Amino acid sequence: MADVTTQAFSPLDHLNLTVGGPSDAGVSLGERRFVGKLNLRVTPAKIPPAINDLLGGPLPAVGQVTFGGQVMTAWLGPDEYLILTEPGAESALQAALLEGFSGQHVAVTDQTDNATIIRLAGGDARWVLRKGIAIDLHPRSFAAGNCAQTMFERAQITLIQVDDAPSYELIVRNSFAPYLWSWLADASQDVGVRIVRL
Amino acid sequence: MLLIDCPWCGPRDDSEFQYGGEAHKRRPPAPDQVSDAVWADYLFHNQNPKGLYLERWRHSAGCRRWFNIARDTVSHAVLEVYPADALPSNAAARAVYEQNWRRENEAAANAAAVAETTEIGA
Amino acid sequence: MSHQPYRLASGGHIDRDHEIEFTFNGRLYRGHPGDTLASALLANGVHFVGRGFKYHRPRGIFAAGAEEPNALIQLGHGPRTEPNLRATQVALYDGLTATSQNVWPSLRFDLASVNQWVSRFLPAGFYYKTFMWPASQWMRYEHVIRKAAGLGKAPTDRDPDRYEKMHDHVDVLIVGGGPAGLAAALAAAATGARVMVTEAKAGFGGHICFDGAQQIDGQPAAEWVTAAVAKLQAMPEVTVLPRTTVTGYYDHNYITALERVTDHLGNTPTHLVRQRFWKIRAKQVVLATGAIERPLVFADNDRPGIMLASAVREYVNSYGVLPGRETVIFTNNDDAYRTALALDDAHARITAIVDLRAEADAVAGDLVAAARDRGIKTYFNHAIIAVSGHRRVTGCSIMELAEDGTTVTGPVTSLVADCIAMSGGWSPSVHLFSQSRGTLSWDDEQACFIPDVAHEATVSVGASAGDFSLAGALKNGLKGGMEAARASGAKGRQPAAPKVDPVTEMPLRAIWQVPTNAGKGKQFVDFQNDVTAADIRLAAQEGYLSVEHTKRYTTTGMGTDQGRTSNVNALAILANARDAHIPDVGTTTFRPPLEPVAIGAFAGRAVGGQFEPVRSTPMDPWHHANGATFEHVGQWMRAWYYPRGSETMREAVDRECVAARTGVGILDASTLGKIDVKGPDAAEFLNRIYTNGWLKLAVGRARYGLMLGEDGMVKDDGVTVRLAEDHFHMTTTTGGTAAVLDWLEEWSQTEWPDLQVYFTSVTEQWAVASICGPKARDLLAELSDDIDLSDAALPFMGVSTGTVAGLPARVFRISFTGELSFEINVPSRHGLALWTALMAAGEKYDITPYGTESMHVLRAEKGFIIVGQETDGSVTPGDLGMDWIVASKKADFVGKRSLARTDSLRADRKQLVGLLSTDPEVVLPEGAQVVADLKPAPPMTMLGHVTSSYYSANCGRSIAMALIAGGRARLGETVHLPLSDGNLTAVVTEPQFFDPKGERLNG
Repeated sequence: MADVTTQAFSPLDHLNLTVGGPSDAGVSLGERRFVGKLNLRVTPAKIPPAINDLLGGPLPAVGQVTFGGQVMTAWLGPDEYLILTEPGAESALQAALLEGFSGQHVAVTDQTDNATIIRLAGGDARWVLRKGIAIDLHPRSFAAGNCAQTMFERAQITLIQVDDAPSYELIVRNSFAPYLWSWLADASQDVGVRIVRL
Repeated sequence: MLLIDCPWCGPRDDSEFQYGGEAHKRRPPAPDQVSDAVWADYLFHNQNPKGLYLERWRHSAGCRRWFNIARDTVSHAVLEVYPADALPSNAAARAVYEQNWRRENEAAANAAAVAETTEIGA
Repeated sequence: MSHQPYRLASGGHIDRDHEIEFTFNGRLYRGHPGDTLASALLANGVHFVGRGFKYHRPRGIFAAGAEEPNALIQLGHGPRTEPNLRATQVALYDGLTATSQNVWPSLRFDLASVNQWVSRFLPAGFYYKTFMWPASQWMRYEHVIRKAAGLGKAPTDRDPDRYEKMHDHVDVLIVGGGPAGLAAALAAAATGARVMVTEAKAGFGGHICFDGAQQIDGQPAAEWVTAAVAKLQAMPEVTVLPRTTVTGYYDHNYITALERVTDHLGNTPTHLVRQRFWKIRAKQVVLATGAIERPLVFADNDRPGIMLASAVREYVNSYGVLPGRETVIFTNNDDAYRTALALDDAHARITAIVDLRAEADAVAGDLVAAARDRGIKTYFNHAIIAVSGHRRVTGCSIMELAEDGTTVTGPVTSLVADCIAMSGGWSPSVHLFSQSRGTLSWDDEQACFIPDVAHEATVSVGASAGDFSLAGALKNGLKGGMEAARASGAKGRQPAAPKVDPVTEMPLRAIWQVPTNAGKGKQFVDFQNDVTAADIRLAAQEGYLSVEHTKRYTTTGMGTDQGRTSNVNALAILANARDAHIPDVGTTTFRPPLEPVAIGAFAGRAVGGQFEPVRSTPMDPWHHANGATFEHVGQWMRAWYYPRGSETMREAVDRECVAARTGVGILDASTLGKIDVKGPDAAEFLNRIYTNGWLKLAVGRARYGLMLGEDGMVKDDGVTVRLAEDHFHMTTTTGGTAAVLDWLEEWSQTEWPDLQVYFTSVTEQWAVASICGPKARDLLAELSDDIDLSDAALPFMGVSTGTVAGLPARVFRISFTGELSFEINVPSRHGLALWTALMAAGEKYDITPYGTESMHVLRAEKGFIIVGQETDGSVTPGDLGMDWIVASKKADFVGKRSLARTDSLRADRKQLVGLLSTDPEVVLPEGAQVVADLKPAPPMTMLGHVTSSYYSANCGRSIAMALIAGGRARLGETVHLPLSDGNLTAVVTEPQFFDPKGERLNG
């Protein structure tokens, strides 16, 4: 029998996307496949130092993300965080976090395969996002290092602004990913879009 | 579209929220011990004021937290947003809380309800 | 130029270097870029463009902007056709085609125009008086009325254009790009605030662009406008939106606006949208929406060629078009004299000015003096009493007003005119202010409603606040813009007001219904809805005292026009009829949208495949490649059944159902909701949420649970697995996934915050293949060497972890078919690989994929419920015969108390039973009503309805479940199902049809 253990598909794989597009495109669009995703539920007042070491610093404040080496942590709610890590590193990190919390009441849940990440970047990225997102994305309100859970039209997303390009990462549940992707590709027509492999 | 100031995520359109009806309704701690009428007050009977109302909302598209707001149902003005387990600090909202029949006449209502049930039973 | 006989040799903002062609009612005309359809038609001498709504009298172009009530046209053809557009707002492009809307069958020969000769039968309220009996004929009347009323034609094909939405947040939104709006924008923008300014027209400046020679800060007004717009456009925090109409003003300063992106271009570039629908949240709003000129209500004031005086001026100055060669100006105020001066500047002939005011009351005005200096003949204290001409005005008769202005007196003077420019004063555009729930007050001096108390954070400036002077508009615009910026949190100093020369204007004379002794002429108030002064007086006479009632009865102020030009005249005449003061009559409410908006603009990108997310599972590519048919389950697309060759649905489902009980079947169960429940109090929490007991469930074991609402009604169900002492994996119904997670969070956050437990959705973390049937274990054994599949190691409701096909897997031995069954969970990236491996290894067992239809049949054979099918929010566990799962000894669980309510204990509650059709080949229709006593015709006492019904190949007959009043007591009874195409009968049975003792679970 054929070995199927190497067969792994992201929710956008079956769209057979072709990489490319105009070099002067206003935005680039790409999928970050299989990024490790751990959902952390914890009372933020009680964080052992070991956890700060693993995450590269204290947990992010409301509406913020923190960057700690290979790990990025996003605030989701008053007792909820999303930790992103390199593909494949999630299990080890999950184990390390549980050990670091040493019996404290927490939940560290692997959501790596629950969602994927679509990255929209470029000078016109904000313009394109504003077609589907109602929250204020003006730099005075939402800048690099900010995150928000909100709706992109009919899809619930976690939005992170990564840098001032601006680059945005949209974390979306797998089954909503094709909808979000085709929406973004369509909404980018007026500024031009380049499909990239990330 | 209302603009609701989520205590965690900040101002968002009301389409991101779920409405949860009247706030400060207390679930009878021992449901088995209360009359049908008292249970109905908890389960079915809500204030429906023309004016200031203390109500529960949940930021369903965001942080998923429940919280309370004091909202005028006529003007749609939101006077206060406060935690689910707290009382309003706004004076008008506090007055609405205090004057709610659930608190004003809780004991009397319970007694009357029990009597009524007995009557129906008899 | 010979093509456009009414085009002036110079003037206007049109592009005279280019001529473009367009077609109106089948005739070819020429115009210029920069024209509107209306200005181009007037340049060609075309006034007569439509017919009245009710009487079908000829109607001409009346205005130059959004207030146009007459020139409603149908633009384009085929899928791009759009009704209800005003010719005054349609930008001309090469190749434009348009037709008159309210004509049938054609403009010049209009069948319904006979209405004007039978008008005494069409008074106010004619709909209600004439067409209501017999009521059964209303649908037929409505069809004819709609056709005759010319409400335009909706396109029948799909709209080929693209639209989009755009969200924005600003500190200050300024609506209107006239002098007041631009001043407000300059002031607000100077503070660094985020500012947006919208202008409905292509060009900014409003009236100052066509009012004539005015200076602002020593430069021509138009140059000041150009400089102001350029300055605003250069500022990074300012958004300048021309061709953008604010259509709605909602709660908390939420504003919608329609930007016409490419409508003015003939050929739409494919990468651009046609229109963009803005959704704006503004901290502060400045309304600078200007004012609308009112017509005068005089006899036959609707003849083509009779126009608003400001519109005549706008056509001359903005478009270089002369609406008439011999113009009479009829006014009650000074502003119309600007039109006289503009016509005179263009060397057009002015027959006379007819002014309702006495000379002594008008002569001190600067504009009146200027007209006199130029020798323009003016009749003071005179009124037009009659108009000649039918399809185009040819002249008018005037008489002197009696002392009190209510009658006319003296000799009749006849004036020649192919255009009458009328002005009855100005009404501030308070529509948006009113939409935002601001209240209005009556300004007696200026005879108009002005904004009074704002409900939202909004301020009105300029003409929309009743400040009609240019100096005032600029000064108060700056002030309003500055105050709005400061209120939004910005800081800065208010710029100095630009200098303008003051103009002295005298007050108007309000004569709401111009007296006449000429008899029959209709005095129109609402041109779009064909409402006359007599209609309004009739309504008052018949007792319609409330303005809202009068509006509905007469239809004045309704429709796409929303009473822009008519509201104040109608109110004044109603007040007069009631002998009341105008503000005491009140005003009607304005509703969004301000103007008709294409449905496509509201939809934006939510069309076609982007209308709604279509969710699919990781195995979806296999289902597609292997001929599955699909069904919608909420947003999910699930494989429904897998027909082979020419199989019908019934044949395919029969085959799949038999295979699942004789060999091995495989189902994609990935859509089931999955929630990770973690914490020391997890078991206690589940014990309170589910009806049954959870504290003693062993680690590595699963249990079926039923969840109730606090009202005792079944909410959801599913199997939950205990992975560790403090760790559970809950499954929910596909449709209930989100609601259940919300439900758990609600109880956790609001009622039991003391319980230490967290919930995390892992629905899409896991792909699930469910295999069932006697050979299921053999198949699984081939793919797993580290999971002991024996009954002892993995009993029914047991759980194991290991690998399947080399993939990390959780295997649950649970069953929704009653067969030996395993649910294999793998990380979703491997879902397709798991499925392919199972299909390959299952080949020798003749593995049969089955879809949701067979899943439904198989569970129904066993009498397993589906929440949402056997339940509808009014069904208790007892109603379902599931008391066995209700742990009544538990102190409490959600919904427990409600199960003891009197109503929950009624003996005649609808209860779940089986139904066996008398004819075993007949499948009872789902939803069919069940009765005990059949009557020849309804009404009959309905006992309940069929909830599930299928043909069961395993049972060799049809089976059904139903909710029936007192059903448990009816076992064995025969019931009837009355249907439109014949009646069916069935016998009430237990709702289990196959393997009632559950002996097959072990294969």
